[in-house]
Amino acid sequence: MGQLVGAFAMSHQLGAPDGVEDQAERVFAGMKQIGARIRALAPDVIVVVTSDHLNNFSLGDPAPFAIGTAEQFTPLGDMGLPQDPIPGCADFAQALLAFATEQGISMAKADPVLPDHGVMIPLGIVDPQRRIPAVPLYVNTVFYPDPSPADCRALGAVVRRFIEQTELPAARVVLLAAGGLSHWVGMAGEGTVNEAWDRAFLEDIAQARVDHMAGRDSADILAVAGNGGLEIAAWITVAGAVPDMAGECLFYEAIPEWATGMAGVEWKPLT
Amino acid sequence: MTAGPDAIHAMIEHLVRQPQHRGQVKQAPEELFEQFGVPQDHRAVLLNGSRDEISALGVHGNYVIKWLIWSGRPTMPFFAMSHFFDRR
Repeated sequence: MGQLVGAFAMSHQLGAPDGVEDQAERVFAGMKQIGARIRALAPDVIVVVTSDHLNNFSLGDPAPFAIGTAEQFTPLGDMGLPQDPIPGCADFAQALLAFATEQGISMAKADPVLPDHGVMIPLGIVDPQRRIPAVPLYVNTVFYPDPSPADCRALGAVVRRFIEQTELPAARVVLLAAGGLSHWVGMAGEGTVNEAWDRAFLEDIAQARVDHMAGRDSADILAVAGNGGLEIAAWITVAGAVPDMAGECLFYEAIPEWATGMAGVEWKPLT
Repeated sequence: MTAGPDAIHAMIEHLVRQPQHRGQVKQAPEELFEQFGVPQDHRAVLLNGSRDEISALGVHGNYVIKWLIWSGRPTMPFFAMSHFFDRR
């Protein structure tokens, strides 16, 4: 039997520190704190739940859910990120793909895939030595309106069931959601942060209000939190995997200069 | 998605897949526009329009960002990732 040993979330952006030095340092410290906590759990695999940024997928062939099944990944290197290879976990990923398909989840195989910053900013901070096998699980919010928050919650529940029934040797699993919070990408509103909305979502996480998160509407998210705000789909996916846990907010900073709200969370069992 | 930006999307997707061709964005944009059948009234917007004007054509936000970066008109300042990654 597998074991879900940790569940975390963090934004997958970084930006120029000029003029926001203190906020940038608090964000980076929070990201490193999450990394230290994950490494302390000694996971066999980290499932990074994130959205691609149309670097690996096509508008003509939408894949709202997809999974990287390679033995090793070479990062895209966007934003000047290092391109040193990272280990995959092919057996785990392929078994998860098969299980999800059996459970009625439409999930594409992302192979080949060059993980962009959606994977590599969080993973690069969590595992600087690139030793922990990672599986990119794409919840691609670039194909609006799919996937819906309800679909993401259902996916998370399937991932949890898979972990708890798998007999694969990669048994200790950490889930790491990456993306969000409110931001507008390449459209009017870019540079705006809806801090009140961000904090309300984080409160949903803190109170384990999974029904409320899954009941959100993509059109509403788009309207008040931007096209980038749809990336909370990754967080909802992980929340769907851990309905018995509540998220502790480790950091939050509204940084208009980075055009996004930045946050990090660790889920812990409800007491 | 409207029909209008389809040609632009095809052009930018090509440039995503073929990074060696991105130099054409600055050096020979008309060749790209011809290759992908970008409508005439969209070309001036791509070459000189603002982020919001390009977005208003119906171009996907992620593609707006990429186009503007390759055009030398990024919407966000560049920074050295090493500022953070050297201190992980």
